[in-house]
Parts: sequence; structure tokens; C-alpha cells
Amino acid sequence: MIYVVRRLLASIITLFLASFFVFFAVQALPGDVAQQLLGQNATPEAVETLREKLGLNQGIWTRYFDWLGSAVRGDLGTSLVSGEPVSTTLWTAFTHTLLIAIPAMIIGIAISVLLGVWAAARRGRRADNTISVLSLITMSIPEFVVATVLIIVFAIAIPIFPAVVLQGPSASFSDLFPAMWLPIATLVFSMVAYIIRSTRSSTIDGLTTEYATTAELKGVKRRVVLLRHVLPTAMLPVLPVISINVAWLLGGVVVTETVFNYPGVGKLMIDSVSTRDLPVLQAIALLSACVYVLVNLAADLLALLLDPRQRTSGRASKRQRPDPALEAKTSEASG
Amino acid sequence: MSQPGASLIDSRFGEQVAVVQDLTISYRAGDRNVVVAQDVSFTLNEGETVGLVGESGSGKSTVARTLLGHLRPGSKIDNGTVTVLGRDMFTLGERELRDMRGRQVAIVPQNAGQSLTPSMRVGGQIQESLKLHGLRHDPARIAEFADLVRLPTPEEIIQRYPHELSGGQQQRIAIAMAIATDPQVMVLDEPTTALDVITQGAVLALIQELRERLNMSILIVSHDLGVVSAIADNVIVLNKGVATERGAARDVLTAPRAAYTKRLLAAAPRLHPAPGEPEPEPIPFDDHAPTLLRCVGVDIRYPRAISLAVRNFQIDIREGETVAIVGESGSGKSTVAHAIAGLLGVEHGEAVITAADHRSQDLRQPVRKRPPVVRRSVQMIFQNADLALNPRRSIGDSVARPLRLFKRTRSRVETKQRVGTLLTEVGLTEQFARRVPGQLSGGQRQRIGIARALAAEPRLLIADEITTALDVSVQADVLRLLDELQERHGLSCLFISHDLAVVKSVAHRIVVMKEGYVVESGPAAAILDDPRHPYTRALLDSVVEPGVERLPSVDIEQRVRRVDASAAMVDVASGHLVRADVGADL
Amino acid sequence: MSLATTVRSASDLGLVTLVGIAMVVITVVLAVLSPVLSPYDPIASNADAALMGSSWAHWLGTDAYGRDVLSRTLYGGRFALVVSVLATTICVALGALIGALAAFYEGWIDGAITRVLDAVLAVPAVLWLLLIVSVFGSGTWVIVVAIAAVYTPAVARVTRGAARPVMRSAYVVAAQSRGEMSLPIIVREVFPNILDTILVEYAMRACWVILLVSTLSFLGFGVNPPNPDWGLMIQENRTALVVAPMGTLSPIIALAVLVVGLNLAADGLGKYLGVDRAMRGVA
Repeated sequence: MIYVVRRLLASIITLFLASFFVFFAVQALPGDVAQQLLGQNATPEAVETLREKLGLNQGIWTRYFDWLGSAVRGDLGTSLVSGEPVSTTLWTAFTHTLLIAIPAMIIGIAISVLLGVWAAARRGRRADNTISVLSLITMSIPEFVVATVLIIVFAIAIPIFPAVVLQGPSASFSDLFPAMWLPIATLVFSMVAYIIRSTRSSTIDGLTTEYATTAELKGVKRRVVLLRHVLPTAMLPVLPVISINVAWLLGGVVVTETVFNYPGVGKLMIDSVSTRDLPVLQAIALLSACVYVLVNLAADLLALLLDPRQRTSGRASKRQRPDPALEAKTSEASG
Repeated sequence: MSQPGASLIDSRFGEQVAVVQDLTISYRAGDRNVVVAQDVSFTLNEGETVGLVGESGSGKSTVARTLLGHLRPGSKIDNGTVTVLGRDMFTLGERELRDMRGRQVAIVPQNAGQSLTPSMRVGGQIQESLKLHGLRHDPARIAEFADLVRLPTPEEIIQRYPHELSGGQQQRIAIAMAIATDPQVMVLDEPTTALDVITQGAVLALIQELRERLNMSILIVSHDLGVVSAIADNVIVLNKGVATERGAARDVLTAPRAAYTKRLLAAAPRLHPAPGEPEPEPIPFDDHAPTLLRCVGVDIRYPRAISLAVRNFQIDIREGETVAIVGESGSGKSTVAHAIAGLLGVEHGEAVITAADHRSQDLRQPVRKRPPVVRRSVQMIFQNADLALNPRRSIGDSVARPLRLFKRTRSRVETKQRVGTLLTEVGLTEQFARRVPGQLSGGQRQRIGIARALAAEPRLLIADEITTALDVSVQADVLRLLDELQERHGLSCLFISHDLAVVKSVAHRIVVMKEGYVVESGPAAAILDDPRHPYTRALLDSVVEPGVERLPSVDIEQRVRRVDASAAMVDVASGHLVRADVGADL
Repeated sequence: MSLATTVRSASDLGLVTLVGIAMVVITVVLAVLSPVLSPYDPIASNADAALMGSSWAHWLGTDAYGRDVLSRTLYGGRFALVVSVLATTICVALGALIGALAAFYEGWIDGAITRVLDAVLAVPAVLWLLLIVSVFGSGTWVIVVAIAAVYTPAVARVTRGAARPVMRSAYVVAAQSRGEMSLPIIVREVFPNILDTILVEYAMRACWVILLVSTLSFLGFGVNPPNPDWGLMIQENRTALVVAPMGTLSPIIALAVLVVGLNLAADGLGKYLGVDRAMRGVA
């Protein structure tokens, strides 16, 4: 329990620091931000109005805490471009992103864990070699290439799916439904390789442990050894890899959404970069950081569920410290 | 050799249950074929216990595991057969093999801590064995087995996960798991190697009890001649995969015929002389030598720890003297070594050494705050020589480092010469300077560890379990070398060990520790021949030795009580101090 | 190292690794020699020769502006390669240093470093890059520094993970018991033992940087048109894919050869050095 509380505290600090970095990175814009945003030809009045709007006449720390304080209350400011509240725009985009990210996440994790375990069980044989080579190649192909190829095949050559979303951010679910499958496929393709590789590697380690051998020598079937004895522990090091990928999926998949013109957070990000809509960019970064922290927290809690060693509170921290008695024992055993 | 175990046919036992015939096993390493076992044959009869002994690399584990039809990946059988209960284990189909494993032949693996599945409750793991082979597997039945292996509160303990048990308890669970299906053959693969002395004694006694009760045939694998001696009827000595000697345990381990067995027995440290040998003279020591190290009332705590690791520790080491600290894991013996070496600070008390400048210097500070002359005066030799040498640095570089750090040599040429001298002094040659640790054997690495400690020209050597990871024959050589060097350089030594027999061969005085307290200390002969504290007695009672068939009582662990925090140290004879705990003979 | 041992260790690397290295070397050599090898000026447009298929004059055809695809493909890796070498070198050097320091100073310094690293990692790399590019513009140096800054925490985390067990190893304890200072312990004892991890990390990082740079160009924030770049070429030519497929396919193939080669080399190197890199996710 103490562990969970400490973990929560650390998450909050991480979020706070991330917000700090994002804010100051944006504020580091050289020269007068308002002038920069409006260009050299802007009238002094226009610049002054923008300065007022951005609160540039106040100190930077005041602005930071104002921004953070409003953000905590759900007020992320107003877009410089549309003049609408950022939170509304961002929320709409985020629901669109979830629509492709969640199916991609479920399908991607299922496929990759399955393939990873399968490859490990068939280590060194044809299935393993095929999976390993394919995942290495998958890893080497950038997302935008995958998206482009999928469009060529499934939207142009065999026109089953629309190539791009034609409706903008106001698209309804029925508009998006036919157009979400190619983005989902792209995302699945882009994430599976890493999870497959780590699952395979960790499962192979698990299969060579003494407890796996002991179980086999008890007369347990190989498949049962794999599923019951090896997998729960072998998944532990895979969890962080999965959580990184999930955070990436939820935090805005810029490339995929751009290629398919899909109105999610990633597309919003790209649009805001070209219009230099700083409040929106800051809000997106904050959202991504929240997602990252939450997903990591979820992964840690899942690890707690999978690993009884971490559950026994206090012991986990004890294991961190070098214990001469323990060391003596392990070396005696190796003698 | 062609007649399987001809000499082992023994009227005391029933029918043959397992026959290993002309077994040759090898694996490929690069382009070479490495033979693990060659033409090994033996028979295991009903109710018989056969011991398979040998040093590391003898192939003993590999041979034993063939009884379960198991080979390590990459190994293959070149010749021979393994028949258990009339079935050839390596021609069985997958299903038949699974039915044999666990049901007819069971194994208690080497390190229970690593052999139990960490994500499953221990009861569930016993249950799995039972269920698999269609036996009764309700919780009450599982608790019965936990009770059979003498685990306290069986119903509660089977609900725990492996990491929540002590090493001894884990081993008992592994035994319970193996016997639950009432197998005819049980393979014990180094079953007590990872355990403390008293726990080892209790587990061996338990195995003995169970084998009589369940009438099992047992194949026990061990590097420890004492363990085999205690429970085996017949033994086979393996050397580099070849069976060099076989026969009744008593004969082989008291009157060996093969040269290899003789060497092995001669090298084994003993508490009691081998039958027919005279009791060795106690190691003489001049009582009037000046004191080198003095610790009084020392308390040690790990950084940020709640409780003290060592309390009120007391020791005097005179010049040229070897004082041993013995105790089980967690007794605080290594903590003391680390504190004197300066890896931990002393929280309270007095710790003084007469340093190399002949001045009295404080040792309470951690190493970073000690003046160079103090740092140089205390040098540590580490328990695991392979880990204590940087794998990426040459031997010469490792040995030269203290020479430069403590300015023992002035020029590059002088350093090189000195490294050469040091290497020769520890029984190696100058050529070793160019090698890296990976190219050396375990014994050679430990010699480098000694050379590196000597390079600083210390006054006190701290030897922390330096022979634990070594085979007995290598261990004897290293101990002899240490003794020689100590004599030659007039060094004192603080010798940390869990092995009383090893301690007997080197120590002038002995300190026994338990739970962070000193429970008894005094001249080696007094401690070993006239122990007064119940814990010291339990330790001595638990020792198993080659040629001795006696085992400690099965409840020896229960006899060990906790240390009374308020008890005082009482001087019972000149310099023989005993902690006044319940049961101490004052 | 003598020639004989070098040759033997090369064969120990395994065929697949050597193929990987060869793929990287070929791509790099072609990019370096592109001014010599290119039949045309990569940015010279020719309205009369737009979107032509393969011919003797233009082996890989031309794009919508009539520019020679072969020449643009040969030139197209230069930017990504230069940025990749610079950014990877900076982030690996900096990350290794920070990671080693965090591992060395356990306790609050380590805690503080870890929190800061985590905070940077909490915002996705692409978002950081877009933020930085939108603030500072997309000059070569901005991109180099931005990528280096964004990947440094990830390298630091990996290095810290590798250095922690080394810090606890008996040979470091032995050095501490001699009273060695911090610097000699890091330089003599720790660094040589995490070098393997750092090397593999370098190869792997280089891969990701190349992918990231082409992604940036594809999104329009990297190389400015009309300069040639694989990511940009894929973006420009994909609409004309049916008419002149080579305009899109050749940069894709070139990019794939380079990155697959790097991945194979990193994998083989990792296996050879005993570093398991499959346990890392994309970061």
C-alpha cells in the first residue's frame, strides 16, 4: 500500500515537471512572442492586443501558475486561431483518437503477445525465425510508409475503405466508422514489433529458468508449463514496453492521423503547429503527459497483480538493498 | 565397467529399480565435442540410497537427471541406456515420459528458491503434482504433506508464495512436492547446498526419516562428501564424467582406493580427524603478541535501516593472529567484515587499529574518510573471486592498481616488477598479468584476489568466505597459500566463514555470531572441544563429515532459541566468553 | 587487436549481422558519393519530362516536376544520415553520462534525475520535436539539437539500468574498499562494463533518429523543398503513385535498406556482446 502511495506521489511530481518543461519550452520563443506569432507586418496595436490576450505583460512565473491553475480546473485557455475554448476542441479530438487507439491497442497487444509467446515456444524453428525476421522488418518501416501502402492497396487498388476522412473535426461517428479501419491497421502494424520482440525474449528467459524445468520434471505438459508457470512472471518485463506503446497510441498519433486526415489529437497537433496555436499545443502536451503517467501507473498496478513478490509490501524495497546474507547464499549455491 | 554396478549388488536391498548402463553424454561447443559423462554405469535397488559425488564439472547432475529422461538443451546421448522400472527413459513417447516423471521418478532440485514458481502459491504447486497424476488433492491432503516435511502451521504455510518462505522451508516444500505422488525413485540434486549448516542437518535428517517411512530408492548428488556419507549406502565417485571409484559408502569414504578419491578426501576439511588419523595439534599462538585490532561495544547499522545489523560487537586481533567469525547467513558476520573494511560506518563503540605507520588509528569512519595509511592497512579478499575482479581489466592492471593508489612503487618498471613478484608469490607466473579474469579458473582468480590485497602491504587481511565458491581440492590449496603468506609477512587475518571445519584448519581464535550478536568467543580449541552456548553446540552437532554416518536429530532447528537481547557475556575460562542466554553452560 | 583476431570476431558476428552491416555501408557510401554518381542535378526541374516511367535516360523515371528520381534518391539520404550521426552521438554521450551519474549517486540525486527524465519522456518525442520546431523553426541545427534533447532521457534511462548492477558488483565494492574516488570508479570500473550496452544503444538510436527525421520531412518540418529527402519524396510523390510508382517506391526501398540493415547490425551486435535489446520499447 505504501508502495502505491509513493508511486502516486511520484506520478504527480512527474506531471508537474512535465508541465513546467512544456510551458517553458514554448515560452522560450526568441524575441517577442506576440510579434513572432503575428509576423513583421503586424500593426503595433494588433501586437499589443495579442500581448494582452496572452498575458505577456505579466511575469513568466505568474503566467505559469495561472496556466497550471486553470488547467487543473479544466480550463485550458482559448485557441489563438479559432477563438474557441481549447478544452472543447481537444476533447472532441481526443474522443476521435480513442476511437482508433483503443481497438488498435486491444488488437495490437493480443496479436503481439500471442506471436511473441508462440515464437518463444518454437524457439529456433521456422515459426520463430519467420516471426523474428518479420518483426525486425516491421520495426524498420516508418508509420507513414505503412499508411501510404495501405491507402494504395485498400483505398486505390481495391477501393474498400476511404483513403482519407473528408469531414473535419465535426465528423460524426458514422462519418468516421468506415474511415477508422485503415488507421487502426497502421497503428497495429507500427506497434506490434516491439511487443513481439520483448515478449519472445522474456518468455525464452522464462522457459530456461529452473522453475520451468522443475515443473516439466513433475510431468507437467509443456504447454501448461508455459502458460501457468512461465507466462505470469515473463510478462513482467513486457509490461513497460506495452505501456510505452499504449501511451504513444493515446497521446496522439501524429503521422497516421495526418496521412488519413483523421481529426484526432495528432491532426490537431499538426494543424496547431502550422498555425502556431501555442495554447492548443501546450494543452496537447499536458494531455499526453497525463496519459503517459496514467498508463504507467496502470502497468505498475498490473505488475503488482502478476507478481506476488511485489505485493508483499516492504519486501520489495528490502530486495533493493544489497543483503550480504542473501549474496552469501547465492554464491554458495553456485559453488 | 561393462557389468552395470556389479560391485553394488547388495543383499540388503530389493529389486533393481533403475539401471544406468554405459552412459555417454556430450554436447557441442563450437567445433568441439565436450564429453560430460563417459561410460557411466550403476544400479539403484529398491530401498537403496546411492550417492553420486564429484567436483564441479564432473557431470554428476547431468547423469542424475537422465533418470527423469532429461537432458540439457544441446546435450545428447552418444551411447548407453537409462532404464527406470523396466522402461528405457529415452525411447519413451512424450505422454509416457510425462506419466513417469513426478509419478515414478521425482526430483528435488538444487536450489529450491529458484525451482519453485514465483507466481504460484506453494500449496498450489504441490497440488499440481497430485492432480496431474490423478491423486487426492484437497487442501487437507496438501497440508498433510507440509506436515510430513515438518513445516510449522501447515494449513497456513501452503497458502504462501515461495518468496515468503526461508531457504530451509522452500527446500522442504520442494521435498513435499517430490514425495507427494509417492514415487519409487527420488533424485536429490545437491539438496542442501544452498542451506545453512543447521538447516542442512535438519533437512538431511528429514530425508533419512522419509526414505525409511516411504521405502524410496534415492539417488543423491552432492559435492559434499559429508552429506553423501550421512545418508548414502553406496557411492560412485565421478571425475570429469568418468566413474573412478564405487562401493559401499563407508568403505569408499574411509578407505579409498582410487588416487582421485584419496586426494578428494585428504583435501576435505574436517572437524574430527579421519578414522585412524591422530587429532591435529591446535595451531600454536604466542599469547603475548601486541594487539593489532581492537573493537569494543561496536554497533553497526545499514544506511536507512530501522534496526541495527550488529550489536555490541567485540573482538581483539593480535599481530600475526587469525581470528575467525562463524555464523549462518544473517548472523552479521559479513557486516562486521564490511564495517572494518570501511564499507559501512560504525554507529557506536570503539574500533582501533595499529596501522602501518605503527600509530593507533580510528576505524569507525567509512573508508572515504580514513587516511590512506589506514586504508592500506586493512585489505579485503572477497567471497566470489570471479565477481570481485573487473572482467574488462587485465590481471596485471587489477594487481597494479593498489600499488599506484597507495604509492607502493615509484615507476612504471617498478610496478611491473612488483606485479610479477606478487603473482609469483601467490603461485602463479608473471605471464598471468596479461590475461583477463575470464581466462582463469576459480582458484586462480582467488589467488589474484589475494595478490591484489597483498599489493597494498596491509597489516590486516579480511577474508570474507573466500573459499565458499571453490571445489574442496582448490579450497585446500588457497587456504594453505593464505597461511604461508600470513606467516611470511606477519599478517593478521579476520576470517569470515560459515564452515566450522574450514575454520578449524586456519583459526587461532573463533567468534560465533547469531542475529547480530556474539554468542561465544575464545581460543579455537575451547570453542570446538568445549562449546558452552546452545547455539554453538547446535552448529557443531549439525556438521556432517566424510566417513561419519551420524545425523543431527530431525528437530535440531527447533532447539535453537532466539538470542536474549539483555544477556551479558561471561568469561568461563581464560578468554573463553559465553553469552548468558538460556541454556548456556556457564 | 591483430588482424587475425579481427577477422575471427567478424565471422563470430554471424552472417545476418554482416549482411546488415553491408546494407548500411552500401547506403552510406552511395549517399556520400551521390554528387559523383548522380546522373542529373537532383533539384533541376524539367516540365517536359514530368512523371516519366523508367527509361535509359531516367532509370527510375521522373517526378511531377520532371526531376530525376534516381538522383534524388541518391541524395535523399544525406540529410537524415548527417542529422542521425550528429544527434545520436550527442544524445548517447549525454545520456550515458547522465545515466552513469544517476546510477553512481544513489539516493536523492538519482531520484531527482529519474523524475526529470520521466517528465521529459512523458511527452511523446514527436510532440516535443513539433513544439521545438514551431518555436525555433526547422533549421538543421535546431533539428539535431531537438532530437538529441528528446532522446537523451531515453538513453540515460537505459544506461542507468545497465550501470546499476555494475555499481553493486563486487569489483566496484572492492574499489570502494580501497578508498577509490568517484571518478576512477566510474572511469575504470563502471564504464568499461557498460560500454556494450552503450554501443548497442547507439546503433539502435541511430535507427530511430533516421525514422524520426524522415517522418519530420514527410510532415513538412524537415528538409525544405525542393531539396531531396526520402521522407519528403514519399510525401510529394505518393499522389502520383499509380502513374509513376518509382518516385515513391525508391525512397521507401532506400530507407528500408538502411533501417533494416541498421536493425540487423544492432541485433547481431547485441547478441555478440550479450546485450538483450529486445527488452526495450520504442521511446
